[in-house]
Amino acid sequence: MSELLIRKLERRDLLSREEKNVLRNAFVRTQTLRADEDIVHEGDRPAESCLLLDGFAARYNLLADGRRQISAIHIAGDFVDLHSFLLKTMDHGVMTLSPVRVTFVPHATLAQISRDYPHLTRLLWLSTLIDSAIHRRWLTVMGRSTATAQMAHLICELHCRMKEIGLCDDGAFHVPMTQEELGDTLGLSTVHVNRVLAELRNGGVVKWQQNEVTILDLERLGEIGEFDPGYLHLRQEPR
Amino acid sequence: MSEVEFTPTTVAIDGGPCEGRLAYSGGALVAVLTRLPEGAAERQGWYREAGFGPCGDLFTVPPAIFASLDQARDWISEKIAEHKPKS
Repeated sequence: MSELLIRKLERRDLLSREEKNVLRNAFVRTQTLRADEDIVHEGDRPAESCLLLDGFAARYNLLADGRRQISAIHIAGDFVDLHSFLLKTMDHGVMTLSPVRVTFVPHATLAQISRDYPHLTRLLWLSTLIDSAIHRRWLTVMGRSTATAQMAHLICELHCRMKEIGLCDDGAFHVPMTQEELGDTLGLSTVHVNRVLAELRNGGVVKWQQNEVTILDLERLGEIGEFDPGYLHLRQEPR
Repeated sequence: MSEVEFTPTTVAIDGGPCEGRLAYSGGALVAVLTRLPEGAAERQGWYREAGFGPCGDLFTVPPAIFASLDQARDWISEKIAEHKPKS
């Protein structure tokens, strides 16, 4: 159940057999949700954290006038709210972008892990640090790049992350996001999302059609987005 | 209600020139609108490409697509009225 999580953590540092077993036994129940449902709401005080087993989810906040900003996209093997263990009150919601399967680890179990397994605790801490690294990069790209560069950067990042969990086939992968959701992620209108995708498609760089992304020219896409995967911290080293 | 006047123009949006309108109020340019070509977005209609003063991003949230020019006119008038200095 937690194999994708283990695979992700092991991309950064090796886990002992015991640590892997602790993770395997930490999750208590599995739940299936449809697309566009809330996994947790802003303001909730969850007693467990949620791991995405398959499908896509997004962290989001709503503005007073109902507009939405998506602040993170999560794929299989991602913890969507590990930080609720310590933050206690959710300062954002998490919604599904597609049908998903999720599993939960009780906060009491996380407390036990943090007491008995310091190295595993550091790796879980690392996963929340990588979430923040991604936020920082998004902020930088969205604040200072063109709309086309923002889109190129997002696609490069998703490509890297999908490859990491083995869900990318020769530059092609599935991302079930509407243009409206993409606009809410990048702070663009759907009109601009449409134009940017058309520009990238017409330039022979990438196609994003019916939830299927096909990268035609990865090098060019990386140049347009000024993408450097360093912030995903994919190097395996003692941590 | 403020008088809003539209002047036809062509706007060079990405993907080629597009039918547009310059929106004036009191002789000042307040917005540039384009008619979305078929298939350009989920919704057809008029898009505020750029706005200035009361219709610009400093003072207003970029609006949704307008179904008609009349709708765009109403929105522009409303924004101008909201930003009129109180006398």
